[in-house]
Formats: sequence, C-alpha cells, structure tokens
Amino acid sequence: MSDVKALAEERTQMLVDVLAGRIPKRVPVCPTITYEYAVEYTGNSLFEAFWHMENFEKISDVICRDFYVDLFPMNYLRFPALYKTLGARNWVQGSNGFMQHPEVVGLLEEEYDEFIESPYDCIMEKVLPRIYTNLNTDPVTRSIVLAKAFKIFNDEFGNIGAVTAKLSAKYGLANVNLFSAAPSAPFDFVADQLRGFRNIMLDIRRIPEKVEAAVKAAAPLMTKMGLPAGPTPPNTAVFIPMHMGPFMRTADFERFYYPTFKEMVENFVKAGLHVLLFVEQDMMRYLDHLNDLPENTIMWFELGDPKLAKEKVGKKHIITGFYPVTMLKTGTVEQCVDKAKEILDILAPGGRYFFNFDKAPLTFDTAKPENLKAVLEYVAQNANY
Amino acid sequence: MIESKYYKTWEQYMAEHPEISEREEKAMSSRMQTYEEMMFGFVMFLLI
Repeated sequence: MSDVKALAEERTQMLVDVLAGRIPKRVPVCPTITYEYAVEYTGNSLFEAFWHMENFEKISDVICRDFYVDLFPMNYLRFPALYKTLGARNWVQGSNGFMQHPEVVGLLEEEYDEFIESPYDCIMEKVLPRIYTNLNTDPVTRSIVLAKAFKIFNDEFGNIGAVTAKLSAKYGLANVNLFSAAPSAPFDFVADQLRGFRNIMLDIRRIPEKVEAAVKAAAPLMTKMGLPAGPTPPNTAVFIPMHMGPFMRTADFERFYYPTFKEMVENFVKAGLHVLLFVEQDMMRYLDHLNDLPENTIMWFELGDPKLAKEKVGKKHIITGFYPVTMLKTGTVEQCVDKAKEILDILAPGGRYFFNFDKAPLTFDTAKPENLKAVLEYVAQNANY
Repeated sequence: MIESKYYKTWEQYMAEHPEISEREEKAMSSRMQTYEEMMFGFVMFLLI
C-alpha cells in the first residue's frame, strides 16, 4: 500500500472512531477554509475566481499543500454564473466579487395557505419567480433560463466533487463526507428566504398557527433534501446550519423550531446518516434540547462556553468548533497556539471531538496564514490520545 | 411523500402513463427518476 493510501486510511479511521463515539488515535484536524480565503491566499481576485471555477483545483491544491488538514477543507456554493443566469435577488455579487446575501421575501403573508396546502407547488409557482427575476417571464424563456441554471449547477458541483476526490487521494485525506447535503431546519427554511427575518418574527406573534403549519409543511421537503436518492454511503453526514434559535424566545423555539427539526434529525439517523449541526451564534440555553437528539450528533459550536457544552452534550454527542477564528487575525502565533491548548484541554478528553474553528475564516484579512498554519500543526502534532 | 404537480415518484409517473410497457419500465425507471430527484434537489438548493 502506498504511503498516501495508508495515510488516508489512518485519517479515515480517526474520523470514523470519532463519529462512532470511540476515542481515536489523535484529535482529527478538520478546519473549514472558505474558498474566498483560498482565492485571496493564492493571490487571486474573488471576482474573477468565482466566474472561473475551473481554477478550483489549482487553488485548493495550494491550500491542501500549505495547511495541515485531515479532511478536505473547502467547498463553495454561491456561483455567480448560476445566480446571474437566474436574475437572483437573494445572492448578488458585490463589486469586490464577494457574494452578498440581501434579505428577501419569497412568500407573501397572504400566500401562507397556499404554501401549507402544497409547499412545492407554491415554491415553483410563487416563490422562485419572485426571488429569481429571470424566471418571472413567459414559459419558453423561463424554461431556457432554468435549463441553463440546472446545467451550471451540475457542472459546478460536479467539478467540486471531482476535485475533492482527486485532492483527497493526492494528499491522503480522510474518506469522510460531512457535507453530503445542506437542508435547513424547517423553521429556518420558512424564515430565511420565504418570509425573511423581520417578517417571521412578526408572524410568530400575529399568525402563530400559520407559521406552525408552514413549518410542518416544509419539513418533508427538507427531509427529502437531506436523504440520498440511493443507498446511504458510509461515513456520510448531512450538514444543517441552525440560524434562528438565538433570536427566539425559548418557548417559541420549543413550539416552532424544535419539534420538526428533531424529527428531521431522527429521520436522517434512521437512514444511516450522521448529522452535522452548525450551532450558530450562542445557543447555550438550548443545550438540553440538543442533548436530546440522537446519540453522536455532531455539533459545531460557534459561540458559548465550551466547558458547559462538554459537560452537557459532550458525553453523548460529538463536539467541534469553539476556537475563536478572530484570534487568528489579532493574536500572535504563541497566543493562537495557547488558545488551541486551552480548547483541547477542555474538549478533547474522552474523545467525541475533532478540531475546527468556531467558523471558517471568511476572507484573507480575517486570519493570518502563519497563525492558521501554527494552530493546525500544533493540534496535528500534539493532540494524541 | 410530496404531493405536487411538479414532482412525481416513479409510481405516480407510471400511474399517469399506462402505455409504458413492463420492458420499457425496467429500462427507463432508474434513469428517469434520477433526473426527477436531481431537479428536486436543485430547486430546494435555490432556497437555502
């Protein structure tokens, strides 16, 4: 067996052990690094790079070469070619190339009943043409726009999938997929691009029954989105970013958010998938709810108290995150490594932990590369069990 | 199960197309349904 294959097997085993709740040989190093960061690290322009995703391999190769990782660290979703073709209002490229996400309202208040009655039909007929202006046209033009967009979508994700496999093989990275799909929690789906942040908060007060029914109607769509079309591949997780919880009262979270979310997570686990939650912002007041999810749910924490999280969910679930990525911008190498030691001392004992930052460094100016390298190297060389 | 004008399971599709023979069904089912699932995934991606 070649060295690189043996390395991949070793790294895969470490992650498989963590996902199964076993103590691995060492804490796996699984940072997420945004494509934006990679593009700027390699001296490229965001604007051009996003239009030329054929460079994804070349740029990703440099990241895999220069930074210690056990798992392929990058992905990218917001292709300007796709959103421009559709005339998108929800994803718009800024003058610096960065893809901006303006607040949109895809579903009007008077359309709740239509959505509740048949959510997918309502999405196709009302929501998509409202958010994607080039679909709001005659049927022939609309079919051409949608065909182009579908082609772009498949080309871009096909390229990213192929590059991920190629570079994982080249660098002996783990054969584990933590981002097989990215469905939203049903409440987040209704909140994010259907009603929008402001409206959903008002709707909860004014028309709670409609909100509750809409969330229930959205749940099968989100579940279907996360399930693989064929047999479930091994070592595969569905990624669910949790958005709205921190902005809700606990009683509202328990009524509107948690029931369908929990059911969705349980359905994924029944189907043989792992679940990776991005626990956004500070959700420490929901730790008991999170602990009630199926065993070995992966929880990537952004803010909060790592000691409390370890104590409350760390015996049953898998924790990652908490390392403040802002430190990579403001700290010295020594301070950044000390922070890694502190986080490891809290989260590594007993296993059920892999290393990642609280969020991915977004652009090059958000993390000094020497700090990023030092922290990843430190964990890789020292976090042995 | 999703009830929609714009998404059909293979069983729903077959119910609407009784002219399809058993031989045709065997040959085409997985291929045809794959595209149905891909389009569903694409549409949902547009809203996340």
